[in-house]
Amino acid sequence: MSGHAAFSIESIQPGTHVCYLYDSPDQRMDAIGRIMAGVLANGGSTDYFACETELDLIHDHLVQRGIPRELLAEPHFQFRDARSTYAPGGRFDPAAMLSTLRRAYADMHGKVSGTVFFTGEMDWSLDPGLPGVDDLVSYERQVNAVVTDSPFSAICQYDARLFDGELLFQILKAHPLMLVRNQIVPNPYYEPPSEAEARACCDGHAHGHA
Amino acid sequence: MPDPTASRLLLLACVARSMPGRQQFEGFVGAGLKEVPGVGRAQVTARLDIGTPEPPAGWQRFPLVSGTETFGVVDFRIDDPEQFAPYADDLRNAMNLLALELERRAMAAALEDAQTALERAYDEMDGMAEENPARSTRSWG
Repeated sequence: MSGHAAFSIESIQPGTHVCYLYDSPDQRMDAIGRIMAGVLANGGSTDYFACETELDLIHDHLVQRGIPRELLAEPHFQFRDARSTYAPGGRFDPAAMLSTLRRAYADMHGKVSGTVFFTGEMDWSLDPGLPGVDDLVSYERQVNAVVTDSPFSAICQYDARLFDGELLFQILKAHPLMLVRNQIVPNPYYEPPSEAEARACCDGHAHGHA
Repeated sequence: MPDPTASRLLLLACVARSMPGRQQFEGFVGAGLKEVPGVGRAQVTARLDIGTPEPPAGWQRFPLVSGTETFGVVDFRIDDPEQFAPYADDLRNAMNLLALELERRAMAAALEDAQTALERAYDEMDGMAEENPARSTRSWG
């Protein structure tokens, strides 16, 4: 992750894990739309995990950005429900989600020439009493270990209107990069995964989660 | 590895702009300021209340002051004064950036209030004009 290109919003590089704190849907669509358009225009794939945003809105936004409709279909474009992706069966299992990302990366990597990009709206993690959600920050840290062997790019979208300020700060610390006012910048608060987290992540991989 | 404290404070002040509510702002900024070396705890009060209680003994209070007004305070429990001392000036600069953000919010809220009052006054005048067109014509000349 070196060089200026790594931090360009229009050409997000493989292996980047970015935290995005936003406070309006328009602001979110503008920033994420620019990134998705950049990925698609450069031969990559985008996979959007949505809680709130509707598929038509994303399609329209990307078309307005000049993305041809034929790129808004598999393998280049995928759209999934965030709740059933992150917490299938009503439970968040970090190892299972990391495996989902690994599998999706392995699948896409062979089909597209550019960056494999995932982005998720994280509102699902506020569902009351959701089992496993206490491991959210640890999960975010483990993503940093996963992108070293499965170099996808990911942006985690946190609606600052919904989340507690202290929790947002802990989440921020788990990401090496931040999206701030349409710029991707290094995060000086970043804390890499602990040895135990990195090991757990690799163990899960080795034992067939992926 | 270079000391990240100054760049952390800059980023904190920048990202704090994305915290829409007062509580989120206070929680986020307080958690970030706690990372300054030597600081054990940081308590942010981002409001103009004159009655903000004095910090407990042994805590230091930094005001959130813009050029014109105080928009709140941050109380720090300094656990290691020697470790903290080199960062006091960086912290004051960050306090100023945070105060400017609070000033921006206060101005935006004041503008919104003024706009609402103006719209209300316009609606009232419009209602009066409908009730009494002749008088209204004279009033508006």
